[in-house]
Amino acid sequence: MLGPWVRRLRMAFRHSRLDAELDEEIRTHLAMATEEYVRQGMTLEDARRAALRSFGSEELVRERHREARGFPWLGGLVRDVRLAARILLKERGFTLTALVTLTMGIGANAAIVSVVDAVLLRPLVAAGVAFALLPLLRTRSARRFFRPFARRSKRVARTGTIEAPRGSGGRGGGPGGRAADRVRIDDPELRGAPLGGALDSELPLIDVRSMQDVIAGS
Amino acid sequence: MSKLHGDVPYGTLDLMILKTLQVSGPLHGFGLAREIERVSEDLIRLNQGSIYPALVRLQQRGLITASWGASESNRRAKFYALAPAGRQQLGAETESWRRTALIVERFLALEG
Repeated sequence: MLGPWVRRLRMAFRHSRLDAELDEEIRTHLAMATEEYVRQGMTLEDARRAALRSFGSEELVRERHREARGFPWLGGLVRDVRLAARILLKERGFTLTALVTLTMGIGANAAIVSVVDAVLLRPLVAAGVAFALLPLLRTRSARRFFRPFARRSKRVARTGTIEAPRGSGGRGGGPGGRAADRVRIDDPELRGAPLGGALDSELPLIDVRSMQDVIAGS
Repeated sequence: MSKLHGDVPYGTLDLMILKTLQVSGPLHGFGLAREIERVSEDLIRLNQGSIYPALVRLQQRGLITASWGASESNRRAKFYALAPAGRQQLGAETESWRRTALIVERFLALEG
């Protein structure tokens, strides 16, 4: 049933016009009633009074009329919000306490949730993805593909140095020429080395040992 | 309980308005109030103004329509008329009131 709501909505937005129309209706009503009483033989003054009496309270009618149409709770809501704002402004101490409590509560919760999300939840998702990929990593071609990386990572683990792959720009590419082919992992210069960017971001994320286990097919 | 010259029994004003509009055709507020008083004779003392909130409610529910027109004495007045949905509602409510009245009547007729 859409009809009643559309009519209600329309009436809610036409308050002043509907008020004016009701005023006109009431005036007409009283005039007609007065006329009738005059026809029955009353004086104009008596007729007017009688008309008002039989109509009842105009104010009550206006109020009921306003309540009946549109969304009466909307006006009530606005009144309540206004009252709340006034009280909050008057009771500064209470307002401040409530505000600080809410701020700290919400802030602490947000902080804890984001830490839990980053530390506990996301790694689980990553582990799940890796686990799902296991069968793929155990195929013969995957082993062949990963073998050089595995060999290199073993060497890195043993010697603590990284070699730039041959022909990848290491030779003569870096500022130190041949010297840049070999970089110590803990060398702060690593960031500037040709492989630095990639290593910087990837090395800490790869668990070299478990990767080797996967490739060895254990 | 309503007594002689009592107020309109609760929930009956809408029904009276719909029925009056069905019988008399379009009416303005005053005409409607007088007609309701005439039919109920001395049993009801209607606060005539109270029909206006009822009229706007019925209008919102789509049971009646309102349009401005000229009265017998050539005054501008809002005329109310029964809408098709109002005719339907009137039928349903008539049925329901008859049943209610019948039930109450049966109990009042009990002899102990």
